[in-house]
Amino acid sequence: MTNSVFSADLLPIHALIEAEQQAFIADEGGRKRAGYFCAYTPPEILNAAGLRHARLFKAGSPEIVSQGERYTQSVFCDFSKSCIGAFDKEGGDPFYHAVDKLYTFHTCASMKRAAEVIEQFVPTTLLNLPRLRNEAASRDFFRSEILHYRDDVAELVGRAVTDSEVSAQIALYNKVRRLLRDFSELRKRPNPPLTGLDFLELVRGFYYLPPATLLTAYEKLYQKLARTHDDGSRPIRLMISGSIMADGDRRLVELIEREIGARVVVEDHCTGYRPFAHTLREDGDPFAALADGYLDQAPCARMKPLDDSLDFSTGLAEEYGVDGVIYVYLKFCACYGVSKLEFLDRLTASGVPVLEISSDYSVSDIGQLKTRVEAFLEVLQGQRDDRIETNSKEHVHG
Amino acid sequence: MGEVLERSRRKTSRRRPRTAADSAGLAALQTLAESYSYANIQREAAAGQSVLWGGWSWDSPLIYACDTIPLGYDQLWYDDSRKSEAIAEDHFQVPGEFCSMIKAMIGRLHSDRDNNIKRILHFGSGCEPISSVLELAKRDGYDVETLDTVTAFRTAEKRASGIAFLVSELRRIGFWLTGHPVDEERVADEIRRKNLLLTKVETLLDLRARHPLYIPGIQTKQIFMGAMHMFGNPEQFGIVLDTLIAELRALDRHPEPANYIPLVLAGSVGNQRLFQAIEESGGGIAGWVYHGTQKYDETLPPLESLAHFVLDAQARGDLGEAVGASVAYRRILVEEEVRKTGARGIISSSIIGCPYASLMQQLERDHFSKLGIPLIALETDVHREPPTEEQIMRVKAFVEMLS
Ligand code: SF4
Ligand code: SF4
Repeated sequence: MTNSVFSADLLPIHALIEAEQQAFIADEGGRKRAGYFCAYTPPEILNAAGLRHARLFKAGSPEIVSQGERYTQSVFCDFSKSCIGAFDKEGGDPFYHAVDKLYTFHTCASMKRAAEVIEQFVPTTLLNLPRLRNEAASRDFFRSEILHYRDDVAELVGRAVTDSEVSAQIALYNKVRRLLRDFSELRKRPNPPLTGLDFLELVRGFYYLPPATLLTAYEKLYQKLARTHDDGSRPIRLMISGSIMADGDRRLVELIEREIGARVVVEDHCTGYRPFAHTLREDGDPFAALADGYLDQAPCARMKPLDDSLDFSTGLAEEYGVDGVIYVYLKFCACYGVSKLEFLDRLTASGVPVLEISSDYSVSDIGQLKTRVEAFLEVLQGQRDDRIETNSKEHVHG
Repeated sequence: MGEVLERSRRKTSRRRPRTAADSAGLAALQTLAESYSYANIQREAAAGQSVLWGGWSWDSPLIYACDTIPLGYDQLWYDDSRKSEAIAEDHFQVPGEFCSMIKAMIGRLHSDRDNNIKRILHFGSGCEPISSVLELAKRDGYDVETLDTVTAFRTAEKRASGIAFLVSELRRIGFWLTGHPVDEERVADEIRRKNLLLTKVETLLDLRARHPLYIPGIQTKQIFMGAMHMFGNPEQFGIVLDTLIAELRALDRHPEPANYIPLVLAGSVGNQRLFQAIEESGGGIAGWVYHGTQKYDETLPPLESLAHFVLDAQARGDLGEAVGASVAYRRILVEEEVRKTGARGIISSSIIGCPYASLMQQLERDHFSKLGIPLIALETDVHREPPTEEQIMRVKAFVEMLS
């Protein structure tokens, strides 16, 4: 085993992702390369057009952040700064430099502004994303924006993207989403056969690998993991909720799983479990299916009503039987920073203890982070011991 | 009030006011601005007048057509802003890094949760902190309605579907306010009325560019705000503008040598003392990029006209973050003002902790340094205490440097 953060079982998948990223940079096959930032961007359209594509969430390094700060100063979240910094031609990230076209939705105001800077570096198409999840007119508008996105993609590849191609991709991506849900289901076991870090690596694959490649590799792995026997240990179970967790921002999960020995069994954020909770309709107009499906997916806190996000979060914590939630918001992320009290109160009211962490990509506060997480986990362990004791007493008396 | 103004207007046509202190127009503006205070409008709301927070900007013709007075969010931090900020941080646990604007908003909404103004209109294209903080206001029983997000990213990208959607959103808001479909003829009337006022504001600003010290910065800011919300009293605002225009025309007839350093201000300066510092050190704000004076297109169906107006403003970088204006293009407006007024320097102002304004300032800094036009970036908060000595010194040093 290398010093990778995920289990050995994930190594072949990791290798596939690395190879795909190299091929992306090297322009192997000469296909146009598209990038996008947000989980509200349907990759179905990009894949239907035969583009090479990736979600751009490679962030976590303080160097790239300071690259971005040449434009933003300090008051943006580190993720949005990283998006700018990675595209910056001086320095930056070769993977981002390889992108021929960026598609980005007006999600949060910071990311919209980031896109306005990035369009100096790469051709960019900005699209609208409604906030209101429950209004028919908002859905129609989103559908028309997706049609515009399709037309733009068609122009990029120089051919039409047909309805049947899009429908086929919806079915294909549904399969992949289902498979990721199946993986996550395994985490409901008392001793999950895959770690939180493993699942994050699978999600990384979803955003970098072509779905056909992914299905072959993931199905095999799923069969193997599903057969794993439970060895009887019962790690503390955690959910992580909050802001986007970039693919290079693993320090919290590493701390929890590799240093402290607890388990992240589910994520309520847009680079963990959340984008896979929903299945899209496969019949009828594919663009209406995309509009409805993406608006109906488990919501980001940017969407309204916020209650939907709170309901989803508490429901997920319950469904996965977590002992506690770590709520992480990136400094300056208004969606999760300003709304945090709503999440904390709702989760606490549902009986789940929550630890709140304000985070960025600097490495200076790791010691303090460790102390706080350890203290939280001690409390959770104590509560669990009490519960076991009470249960066993009830059992004796009963 | 109208009568007093009539009398003073007659006077201005005979006698040219020498200084702002003599100005009947400025005195009337002050009275009008004071009448549009939170306290006054709250009293009107208690007496049964329909009032709502928001809807004071590009959307004000719709709100007036619904017999509702739009109350600007800025009234939320006009008083007690420190106390409100503390409530935001303690009660709502809004993290320290966010701007004083949203904290003052939510804090004040919380302390006033028992008063009569309970409706809030919010435009989804605006900044995230406002969108998120208004979710917290729902806890205190506020009825927050969001006009969903539509943004034109560039002028060429004003898509028909976006216009149609915004029109349907405006209809929905009209229904929310009145319980029935909005009378579009009335919206058209309100648009015509606002256009007349905007034309007057434009004339006034053109005249003022030659006499920037006559209408000081703080009052000019009030005029810009009035151009949007009309202080709840469009007729009276029109009279104020006419009076000021007459005064400026009188000044124009006897031009005096320009004894100030012409400057362009981009954005707003929250604090009166900073305006004074600019003016005391010999600067005169000859050009201002704040809320624009663009007109609504009266040839379009009225709700469509509102939709075009806001999408054009976004793409131009106008009307600020409240409408999700582009940060990349405001510099074009600033550059135009510099050319028009012959300004020697630019003051670019923003609120501390506002990501969007800070990015725009950075882009402007880079752009104007390439053009060799000096620019100073100011950051202030929404509180009314005097600015720090250091801020005042920076402003003074900048203006002195230009002389
Ligand atoms: S946090 Fe929300 S808006 Fe941001 S990338 Fe994730 S889903 Fe999109
Ligand atoms: S526009 Fe800027 S200063 Fe105003 S509330 Fe939004 S982030 Fe704060």
